[in-house]
Amino acid sequence: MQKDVLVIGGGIAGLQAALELAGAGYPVHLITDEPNLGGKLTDAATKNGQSTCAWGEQVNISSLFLGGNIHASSGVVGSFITRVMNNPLVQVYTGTKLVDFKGEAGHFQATVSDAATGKQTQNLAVGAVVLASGFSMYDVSKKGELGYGYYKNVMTSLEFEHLLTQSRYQADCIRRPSDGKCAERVAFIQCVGSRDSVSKAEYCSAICCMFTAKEAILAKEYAPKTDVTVFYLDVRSCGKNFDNILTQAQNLGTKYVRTMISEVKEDPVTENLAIRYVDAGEKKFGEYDLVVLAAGIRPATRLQETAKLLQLPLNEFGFVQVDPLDPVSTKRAGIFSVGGSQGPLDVPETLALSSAAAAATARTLGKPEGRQPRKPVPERDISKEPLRMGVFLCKSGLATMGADINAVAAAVKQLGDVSVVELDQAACDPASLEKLQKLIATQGLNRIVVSPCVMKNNLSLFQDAAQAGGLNRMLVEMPVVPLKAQEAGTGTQTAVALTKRALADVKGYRPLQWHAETVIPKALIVGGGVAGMATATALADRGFPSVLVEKSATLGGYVNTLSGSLEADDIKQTVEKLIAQVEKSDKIEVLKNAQVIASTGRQGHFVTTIAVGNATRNLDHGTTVLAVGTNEYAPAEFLFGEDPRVITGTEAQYRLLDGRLKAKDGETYVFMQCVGSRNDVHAYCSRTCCAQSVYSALALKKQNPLANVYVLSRDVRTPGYLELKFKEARQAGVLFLHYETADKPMLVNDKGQLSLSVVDYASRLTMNLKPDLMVLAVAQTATPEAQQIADVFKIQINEDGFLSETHSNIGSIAFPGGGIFIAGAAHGPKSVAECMTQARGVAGRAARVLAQPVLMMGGIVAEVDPDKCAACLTCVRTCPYTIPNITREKKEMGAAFISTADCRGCGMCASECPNKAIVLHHYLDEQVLQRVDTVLTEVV
Amino acid sequence: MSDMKIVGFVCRLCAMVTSDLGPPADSKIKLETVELPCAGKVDGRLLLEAFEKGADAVFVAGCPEHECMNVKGSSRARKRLEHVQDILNQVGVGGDRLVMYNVSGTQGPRFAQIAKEMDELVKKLGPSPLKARKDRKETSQAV
Repeated sequence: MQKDVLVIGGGIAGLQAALELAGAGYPVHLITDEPNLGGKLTDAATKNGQSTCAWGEQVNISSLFLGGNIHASSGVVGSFITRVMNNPLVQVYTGTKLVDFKGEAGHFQATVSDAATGKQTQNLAVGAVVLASGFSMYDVSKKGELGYGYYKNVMTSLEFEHLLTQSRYQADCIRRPSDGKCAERVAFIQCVGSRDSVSKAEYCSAICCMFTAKEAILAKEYAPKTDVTVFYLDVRSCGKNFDNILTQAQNLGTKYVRTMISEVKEDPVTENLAIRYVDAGEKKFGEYDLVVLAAGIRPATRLQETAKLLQLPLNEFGFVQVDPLDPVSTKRAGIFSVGGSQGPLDVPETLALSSAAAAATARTLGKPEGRQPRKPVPERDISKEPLRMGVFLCKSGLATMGADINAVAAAVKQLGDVSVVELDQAACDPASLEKLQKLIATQGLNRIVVSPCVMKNNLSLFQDAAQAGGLNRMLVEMPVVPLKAQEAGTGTQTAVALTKRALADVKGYRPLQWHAETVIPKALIVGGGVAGMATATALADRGFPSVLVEKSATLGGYVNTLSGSLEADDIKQTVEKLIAQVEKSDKIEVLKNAQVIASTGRQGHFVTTIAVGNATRNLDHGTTVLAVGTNEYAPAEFLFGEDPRVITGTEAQYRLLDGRLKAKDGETYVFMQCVGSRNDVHAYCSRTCCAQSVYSALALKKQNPLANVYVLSRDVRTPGYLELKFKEARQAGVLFLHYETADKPMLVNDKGQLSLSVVDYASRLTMNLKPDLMVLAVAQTATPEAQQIADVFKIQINEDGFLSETHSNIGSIAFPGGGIFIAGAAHGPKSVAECMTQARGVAGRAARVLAQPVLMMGGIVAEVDPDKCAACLTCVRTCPYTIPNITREKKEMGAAFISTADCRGCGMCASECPNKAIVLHHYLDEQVLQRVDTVLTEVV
Repeated sequence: MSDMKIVGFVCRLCAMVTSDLGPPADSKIKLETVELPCAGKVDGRLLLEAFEKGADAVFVAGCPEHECMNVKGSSRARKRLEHVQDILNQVGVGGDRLVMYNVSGTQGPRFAQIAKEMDELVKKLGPSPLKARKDRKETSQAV
C-alpha cells in the first residue's frame, strides 16, 4: 500500500487537504496547473518592475470568495500557502498537469508533466487522490444583451473588486473605466449564467449573493455617496452569520430590487447605462454609471481532461459526481473530490469537505508509515551572551510597501546593535528560512527580526526556523506591512521605522519554555444525533475510542422526526445504519440519559464529569466534540396548536412518509416559509426549511396534480444543486408566491374554514387562499442546553444562541481553546448531509490531536511569584477557565498556583492581581510598555 | 494637529485580525496598535502610562462581550476602563480620551470606522494636557 497522496489543485481546498494529510503524517504531492498557489483567492502582482509579495495587495480580491467575511485578511489565504510550501511532507509542483493515471486504490501510478509544454514527465506512486481542481467563472460576454465586452462600464464582480482596491487610495470616489468619472450610481445584476437554462447552468452558484453584498458594503465604505442597487431573484444568504452581512448592506442604503434584467443599454454620448425593469408590477427605468455582473460558476477548464484520466463520471454540468450523503467519495475507490470540483460551494463548506476528504483518505490508506520525528535541536543558553541581532529584510515585502530596497538595507546597516543584515527575495521561502537557521548558529545571533512581512501568521514560520537553529522561538519579531504605506509614497521611511521598532521590542524578549504532556487517545462526544454518531464512527474507523453522551434514551436526535430530504430519500435508513454501527462498535461507548455537568483540563487531557441517571463519573479524554444539535421552534402564530390543520414542515414530511398525508383533488396545501426565522427574535436564516418545503410540496403535487400547492416565501433559498428541485417543483405546478414582511400573510379561522390572505409581491394583488392544510416552515433554534454546554466548556454562544466557533470562515469547526470541536447543527442550522460532512471533518481534526503521543504546553502562560502572593483569591475568581488554585505544595504552600499546562495565556489574572504577584510571560509589564514606547517614538 | 497620537490596545484573537487592515489609506490619522493576548489583559498602569508617554487618546478593542474568546475578557476590560476613566477625570486628563470598542474578527470596515471616530475625537478634544505639560517642560529645559 502506497501512503503518498496526490492532491490536484492549489486553491484553498487543495491547500487545506494537503495540510490535513501532512498533519496526519501522509506524504503529499500537490500539483496545480497555475503558476502559483492560492487559486481564486490570490492574484500575483508587480510594482515598479519589482515582484511584490504574491498575496500583498490582494486583500479585497480574496474577500470575494470568502463567505462570512467582509474583509478577508490577506494572511488568511497566504498562511495556507506558506504552511504548505514549508511543510516537509508536502511536495509542490506548480505549472503541472496530470497526463496519465493507472492502477487502483492503494496502488495508483500518476504521471505528471509541465502544463504548458507537456514535457518534464514524472511518475508518482500514490495510494489515493484528492481532486481539488476548483472552478472557473462564466464568460459573461456570452450574455450579449447585458453588454459586457462592448460597453466599457459593464464589468464582472471580480473586475469591480479590482477597481475597488484601486479606489481605496482615491478619496471618496470609484472611478469608472470609460472616462474616469466618479461612478455614483452602481447596479449589480445577479444570476448571470446561474439558474439559467439558456447557458445550461440551471444550478445556483451559491456564492454570488454574498460577494455582491460584500461589494456593496465595500463600495459604500470607500465612497459613501455611491447609490447601489442590486437586481436579484432570491437573496440566498443562508450560511452562518450571512444574513448579518445582508442586513449591513441594506442598512448602508443598498437597494435590493427583485426582478429579472433582460437588457442593458448604453447612452453613446454619456456612456451611462440604462436598465428597464418591472418592480412590484410597475415598469421602471434606471440610469447607472456602472453595471456589475455577478458571473456564475463553471467547472475548472481542465476538469474534463483530468476526470477522464481518473475515469470519474461528471454530472450534466461538468462537475464531479458525488453521493450527497458522502460528498467526498467519488465513484472510484481511493479518489476523493472536494471544493469547486463538485459544484458551487463557499469557503466554509469547502474547508469542511477538505477536512472530511483527508479523513476519508486516511481511512483508505491506514496508518501512515512511522515518520522519524525531527530531533529537537538543543537550545542555546543565551543568558550570558551579549546582544547579537540579525535583521532579515524581505524584498517582496518591501516592494509591496513601495520601499526602495537598497535604501532600506543601507539604513538598517547603519543602526547600532545589528550584527547581520540579510536581504532575500522572499523571507518565507524555504531556502531563506534555511539560511536564517544556519546564520543563527554560525553568527551566534540571539535576536531575530524579519522585516517586513505581509502576513502576520508567518511569524510562527520564522519562530520554527529559529528553533531549528537552536534559538528560543520567542526571540523573533516580525513587523507586518501596514497597508496604508503602500500608496502614501513613504514606503522607505516606514520600512526603516518598522524595523527599528521591532529591534527595540525584541531586545526585551526572553526565552520561554514548553514541556511535553501526555495525550489521552480518547474523544468525548456530546450529542447522539447524526453529527455525533458520524463523528464517533469516523473516529472508530481510525482506531480511536470515544464516549458518546446522549441526553435522551435514544440515539438519532432531531433526525428521528424526519423522513426524507431533497438530498437523499433514505435519510431514515442512513440514520438507522449509523445507529447500528455505533451500537455495534467496540470503540464507542454510548451513555444514554446522560449529561455533561463539569469539565476541566486542556487539549490532550480533559477531565469531564458526566451524570448518568443518578450516578456521576469522571472521564479522562483528549478531545471534545460538541454535537448538541438544534431544536424546532414552536410557533405562537398562524393558529399553530389551536387548529389541527396547521402543522410544521417536519410533521408534514412525517405524514407524507407514513401515508397519513395524501394529496386530494382540488384541496389546497399552503407552505408558509420563515415562520420564526429572519425576524426580530431569530435574525438568522434556518437554511434547511426552503429545501424541506420544496421537497414536500413537490411530493404532494406529484402525488396528485389536481391538488393546489402553494409555497409562500420571502426568498426561496435552494443554493447549489437544490435549485434543480426548485425548478422541478415549479414545472410540476407548485405555485411560489413572494410575500414581503410588511405584508405578512394573515391566517384566520373563518367559520370553520381556514382563510389566508397574502399580497403577491410581483403582481401586488391580494390573494385569498382557503387552505385545507397549512404547513409552517418553522425555524431551527439553538438548543436550550447550548448555554449550559457553553458554561461547562468555557466557550461562548452567539446572539442567536448557537455555539460560537473560532472564526466563521477558516476556523469554523473548532473553538478557541484548542481540543474542542463543533459538529452539526449546534453550529447553526444545517441539513443532514451537511452535518455528516462536517462531522467527518471534525473527526479528522480530532484524530490529529489524538494521534500525537504528547503535546507541548507552556510558553505564553501566567506565573505566580509565591513570595508576593497574599492568597487573596482574586485570580481564582478572575480566571475564566478556573485554573488558579491555592497550592498545598510545600515550597509554595498557601500561595496561588497556575498550572503551566492548563493556562490559556489570556493574562486576566496578571492584570487583576492587586499585588502584581502574577506575570504573563511575553507580556510582562515592561515588555508591553516598551511596545507602547516604540509605537509612540518611532514614527512610521 | 498632525502630531496627535492615538494608541490602541487590541485583542490578539479578534480585533487584531481586522486591525491589520489599518485606518483608511487616504487618512492622515496617526493610530498605532499594541497587541495584547486578550482585552482583559489591560490594566490601569498600562492605560495611564500610555497617556504619560504621550498618547492623546487611547482605545481598547476586544471581542463583542458575548463572543469573547476568553469568555469574560471583554467585560473585565470594560470595567477596568470605567475605573481608569474616573481617574483620568479626577486628574484632569479627561476620561473621554479613553474609549472601549468591541469588534469581531470579521468586521474590517468597523476598524476603519474606529480609526475615523478616534481621529474625530482627538480633533475635538485637542492635545492631551499631559503632553502639553511635557512639551513645556522640555522647552523650558532646553532654554
